[in-house]
Amino acid sequence: MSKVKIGVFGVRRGSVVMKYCQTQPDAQLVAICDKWEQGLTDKKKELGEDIAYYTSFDDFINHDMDAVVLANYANEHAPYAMRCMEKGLHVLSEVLPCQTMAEAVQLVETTEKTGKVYAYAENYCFMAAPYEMRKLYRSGKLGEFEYGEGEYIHNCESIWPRITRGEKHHWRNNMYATFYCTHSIGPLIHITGLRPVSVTGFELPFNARMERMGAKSGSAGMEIITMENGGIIKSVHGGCSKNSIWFCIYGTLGRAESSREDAQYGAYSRIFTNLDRYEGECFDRPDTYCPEADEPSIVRKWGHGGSDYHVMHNFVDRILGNTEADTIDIYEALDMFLPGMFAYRSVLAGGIPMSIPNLRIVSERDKWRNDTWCTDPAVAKDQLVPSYSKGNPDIPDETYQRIYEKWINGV
Amino acid sequence: MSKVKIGIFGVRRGSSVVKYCRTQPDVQLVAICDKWEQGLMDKKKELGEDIAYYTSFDDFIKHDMDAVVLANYANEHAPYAIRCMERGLHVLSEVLPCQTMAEAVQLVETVEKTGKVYAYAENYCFMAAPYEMRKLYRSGKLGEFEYGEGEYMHNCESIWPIITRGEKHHWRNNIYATFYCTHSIGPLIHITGLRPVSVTGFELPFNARMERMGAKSGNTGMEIITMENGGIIKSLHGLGPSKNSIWFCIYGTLGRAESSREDAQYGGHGRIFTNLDRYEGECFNRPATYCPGADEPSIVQKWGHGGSDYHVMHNFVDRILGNTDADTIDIYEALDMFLPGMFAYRSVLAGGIPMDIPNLRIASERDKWRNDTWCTDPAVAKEQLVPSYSKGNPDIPDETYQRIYEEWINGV
Repeated sequence: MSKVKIGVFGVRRGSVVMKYCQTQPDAQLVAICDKWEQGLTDKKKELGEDIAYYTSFDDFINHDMDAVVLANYANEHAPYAMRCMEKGLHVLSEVLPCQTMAEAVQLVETTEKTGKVYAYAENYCFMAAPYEMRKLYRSGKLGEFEYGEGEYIHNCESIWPRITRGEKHHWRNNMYATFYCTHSIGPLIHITGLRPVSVTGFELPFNARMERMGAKSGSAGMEIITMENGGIIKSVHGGCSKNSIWFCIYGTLGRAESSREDAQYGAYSRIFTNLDRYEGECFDRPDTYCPEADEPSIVRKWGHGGSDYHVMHNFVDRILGNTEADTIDIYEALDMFLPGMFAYRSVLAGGIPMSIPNLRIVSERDKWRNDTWCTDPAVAKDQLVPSYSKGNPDIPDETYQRIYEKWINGV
Repeated sequence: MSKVKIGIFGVRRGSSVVKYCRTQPDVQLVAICDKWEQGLMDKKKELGEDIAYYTSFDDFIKHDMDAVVLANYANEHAPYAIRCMERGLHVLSEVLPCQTMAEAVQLVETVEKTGKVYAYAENYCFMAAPYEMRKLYRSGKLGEFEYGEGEYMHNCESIWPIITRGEKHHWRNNIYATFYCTHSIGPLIHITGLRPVSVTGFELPFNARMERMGAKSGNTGMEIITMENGGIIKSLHGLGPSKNSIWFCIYGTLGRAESSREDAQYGGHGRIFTNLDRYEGECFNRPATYCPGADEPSIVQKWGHGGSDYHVMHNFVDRILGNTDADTIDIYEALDMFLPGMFAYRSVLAGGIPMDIPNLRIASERDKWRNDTWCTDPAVAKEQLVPSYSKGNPDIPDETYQRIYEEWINGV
């Protein structure tokens, strides 16, 4: 069997990739790149000399390989994705796909021009419950999509020192409330295959928790997304006080949803269904099961309920020629992400609905080709917007110093 | 002990009130009014001659009584509430409080002028889980309100014949998608005591189910409400979704509390899940669950809607008897629960832009709305009639209503 030669950019999130390559027969890890030298050195001790280790992306990209997994900073995937594809390499991009519309246009055009595989690693689509919801929906058992919800709420206060290291301008401290949206939106897009056409955004206030963390935005974001068939998705994500990963979908034939966090009853590994057999039956038929209970090896060994495995496997499978492999292409990735971007444009415009661009349509691309609107001063040029709609709060340096010290001291 | 003499307007929904009056020592049911003569006759057979039975409200209102429970049509409570209070009667109004801003202004002014008790019967506030959430919130255990959700999804297709009788212009076939909103919004208002300041509305499409029912609006409505402290409420409700849900969830700075999901079959609104920090920033995972009314089995088991029907009546009577701490919902709070739904539809009609929610506590705001008869009821709207569906009222053939009428008659 062919082995796909894989390079990983970003040693931390790249650990999952490494695990895949070490345990599966169809992929081989050949190179790792990270500017963080200590992390590379530690990984070399763990994995040995058969893999090449780079701190320079320019050198890494020249390594003999077939595909790259981009696990670098969440707002910086696009430039590297394009460089890889132009070099003839397939790309698996971690979340999020890009941070500007200009990058989105370039990503679409580069993918079309090079013909390489671009896959988006929104692993929440492959958690047991949402993946089962997809099977039910695509088999017609839910009927036509009416309404759906996705939640990714994660109180990150306790892990903030480790993941931001007290860096005032870390992307996590710089992103707006609706940016990190594809965990909550993605599964509903992947379940239904419907296009989002408009979005209204909402931003919860910057609060004491965000201030303690040094995060300069609203504490959570919400997107209310209208789909092409008139159905609606509610997506809520961010840093409310308690965690939630949860999905729910109503179709004309009934409802399916995962289990609530505090119910402690399987969370996103458990599905509840209530399905009519025909429209208008109105029969109460609640049922529940854990969809991948018959695949215990996948669920127990892999992170995020087995979803990390599926993302890698499908990517490699598609590279090896299986056109049915369940990957998320660039168009679908933008269907998952653009509602979050345009939700913030909605917030900044006073909460009015925004149409979501469809870059499948070639003529729409020129409109956005030079749009560098974002919160990253390195990229935005004259289109920089604040991370918080009421203006970036003033957070004293002492806050970041405290967080840096917590990281150093391993708190 | 004084007995409060109660009259009921609307014999069907009034049944839970009848039950209260027959079993509790502080009230006496003295009169029932309904234009539906057969219903009255049936009730007379059940309750006997000690009670007076009226088909005319003009006669009913003159009966010797202290208070009236308005359980007539959901969009027609306000005119009767005003007449009752002007007559010196206290009022318990079923949902919804009014259908126009003009009525809202009149209600507020009549309550203030007459000094009578006006209580709003949003019983969902008193279901076990949301009522416990209120106790937790008011004791500070949830911290400051951040985000909350309320849902009242009720696929009414199977009961539509019995509750609309095939009447094309029944209020249920005439309401817009965000009208019937206080079951989902009310508990979160009653938990937090916060004022809603703006709302953006969303309307799910008029679909095949609504067409079969003869209901002329979107199948479900959603209000995204911004509260006075910047927190946000999502309210989702409808009579045309595929499956039912009564569910509430609240996030505060100290943690989360929520009821149990319908399909989990684990107590519904009778069960609460909590996850509470002991101090801000603790970030400690502490999930717990219990059924809050479990030590009051007699109330929960005997009364509808998880015991909430009892609490609404009891608190109303209690307040009439002089207890100023009785947990009733006054007219201001009732409007805080209802106006987001009204203004959500104005938002929809305006293309989905946010709408400010009036605060009629402020006397100077009332004049702006005094003559606003915007609604979907042609008998009341005058020149401010709006369609029940934002894309224009669908054409539903008479055969649909005939079929539903026959389903009602044949007891399907």
